[in-house]
Amino acid sequence: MKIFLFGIGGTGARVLRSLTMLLAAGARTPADLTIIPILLDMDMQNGDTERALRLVELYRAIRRTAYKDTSASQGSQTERRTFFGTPVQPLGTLQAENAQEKIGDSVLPKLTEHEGTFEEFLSVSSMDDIDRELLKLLYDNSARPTSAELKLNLSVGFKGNPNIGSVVFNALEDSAVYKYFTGAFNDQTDRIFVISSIFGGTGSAGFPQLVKLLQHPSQKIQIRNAKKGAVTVMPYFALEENSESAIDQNRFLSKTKAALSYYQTQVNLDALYYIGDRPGSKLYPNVEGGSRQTNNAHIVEMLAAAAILDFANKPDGEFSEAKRYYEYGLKRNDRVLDLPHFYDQTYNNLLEPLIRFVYATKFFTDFVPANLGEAFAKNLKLSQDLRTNTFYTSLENFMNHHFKSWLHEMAQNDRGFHPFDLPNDFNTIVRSKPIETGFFDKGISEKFLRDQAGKIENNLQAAFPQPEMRFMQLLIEMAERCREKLGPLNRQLSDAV
Amino acid sequence: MFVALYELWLGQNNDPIYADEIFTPVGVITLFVSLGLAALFYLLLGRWRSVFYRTPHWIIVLVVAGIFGYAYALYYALGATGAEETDSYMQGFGGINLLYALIYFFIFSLVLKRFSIFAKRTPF
Repeated sequence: MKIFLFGIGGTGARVLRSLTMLLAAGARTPADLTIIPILLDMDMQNGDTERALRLVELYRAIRRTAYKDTSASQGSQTERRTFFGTPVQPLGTLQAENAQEKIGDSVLPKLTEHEGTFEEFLSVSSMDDIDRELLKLLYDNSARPTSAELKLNLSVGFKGNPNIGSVVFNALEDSAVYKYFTGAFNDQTDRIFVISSIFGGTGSAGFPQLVKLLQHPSQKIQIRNAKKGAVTVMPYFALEENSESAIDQNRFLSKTKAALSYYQTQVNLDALYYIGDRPGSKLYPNVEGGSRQTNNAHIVEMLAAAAILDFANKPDGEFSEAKRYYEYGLKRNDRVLDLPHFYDQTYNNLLEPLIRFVYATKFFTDFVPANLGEAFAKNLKLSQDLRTNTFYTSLENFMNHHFKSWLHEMAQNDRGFHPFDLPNDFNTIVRSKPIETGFFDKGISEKFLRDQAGKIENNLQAAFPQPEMRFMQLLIEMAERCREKLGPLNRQLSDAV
Repeated sequence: MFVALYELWLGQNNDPIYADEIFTPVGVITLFVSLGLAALFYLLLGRWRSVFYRTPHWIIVLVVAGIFGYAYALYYALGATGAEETDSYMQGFGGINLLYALIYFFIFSLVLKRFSIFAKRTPF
């Protein structure tokens, strides 16, 4: 089963970033799932988007080398596909029927060839006078940079103006990316999911337009009949005051209310997830777009990504008219969240894999470089390859820079998600349960890790002659041993807040 | 075989007891003790836990093999000949047996290290 995942605007990119982290950690997904992420954004330089793109590229590079996608290897009883297990494939790499134009293999295909202002996009200069005057009634045509709508440069997105975005997205059907998508969508089991925000510009404009298009009678039957879901992200952060910016956060809630009432009658999907949060004390920089828009990761984005996995895990029979709207709840409304704050489904499907991936990250980024003289490292040629082989440099980049930053950003945000202390030693990484040590048992010590790594690598040699594939299996096994050492977690919330 | 190995370096002793009763048992025991030490290092300790598997540890076992080779040759020769003290031939025999013990241990190391887990790359 493929899920064509449309991520619209900056929120789409940020949720894709979280989804990539969860997939890397081995969050529960159907065994045959392939994710086809398609980011739709006019703001090609957006910092959030750029970061998500790089992350997906790293994910794919790691996965390509770690596993062989052949039927023989997939049936192998010894191979485990826990980390980086789910294939993520750009739309342009699929076969598409009748696609007249190639769209490249980027996750962010060009939405339109247009580069310039909204006025130029509408070809206002060639309009009749009467049409031009009507447009001036509908859109602000002043020269003030914060409110000029017709003069808005579309290369940085819609700056929180869905009334502009909806016009641009109206042309989506004629875009090369959409045509390619319709050509590639051929399987009855494939599904479609849309990520968008409801309070910004690009997402709130693109989402209803896209849904309308997907359900239009002119679309091919596979697309019309496909199971469709969406996550709509409501306001969850506040911005710093910036009188120069066109983005007015005071309109976030009113825009949300207006959009929700529109969705109620106009958007009809098999599953619609709503998520939002009361903005915390940490203010985000008020940046209109471009490379400077790199918002810190937030738990809401991770839970929005969890909605995608929830949708993917639902069997066809579970979709019904009666239950189509989903919201998310925590055990307790604390500003800093830890593992016990989450109910079983999230804990089992997302957080348990994250615990293992945290151990794997610590093992790879801290233990391995300090133990290159060990036999397991020499067998894997790590002293030569760790800094030069693309697989290891990609893994290092993914874990050391992206994954650690992602966890750190979520921990520092408000509401915070702070279940791990990665700079600590192995025994105190999981904050809700330090591993007890004594004279005879040092917990996850250097010696424990050396013993386990040596034995596991030795056992894997016959089944995985290629070092990179063997190393991925080693990571998975090591994380499992560390998790066993941690033991059962107490998931009851303590009284202290 | 062992007689030839020792006489290659030491030459023949006037007392035939070396060729008849000393060289072969000392050579065999030295060979087996070297094998035992290599097996202990690579197959027992080297597969059990990561406690005694690095190059310095290997050198310690090598030295033990050498000391055994020297001491056992003298001990056996003294006992077999009934001499009260060692002579220069006997000392030379101890030295050569020490050298053979080191060589045996080195060769067994090359053979057995592939079966180890933690000492698979020891000494190189």
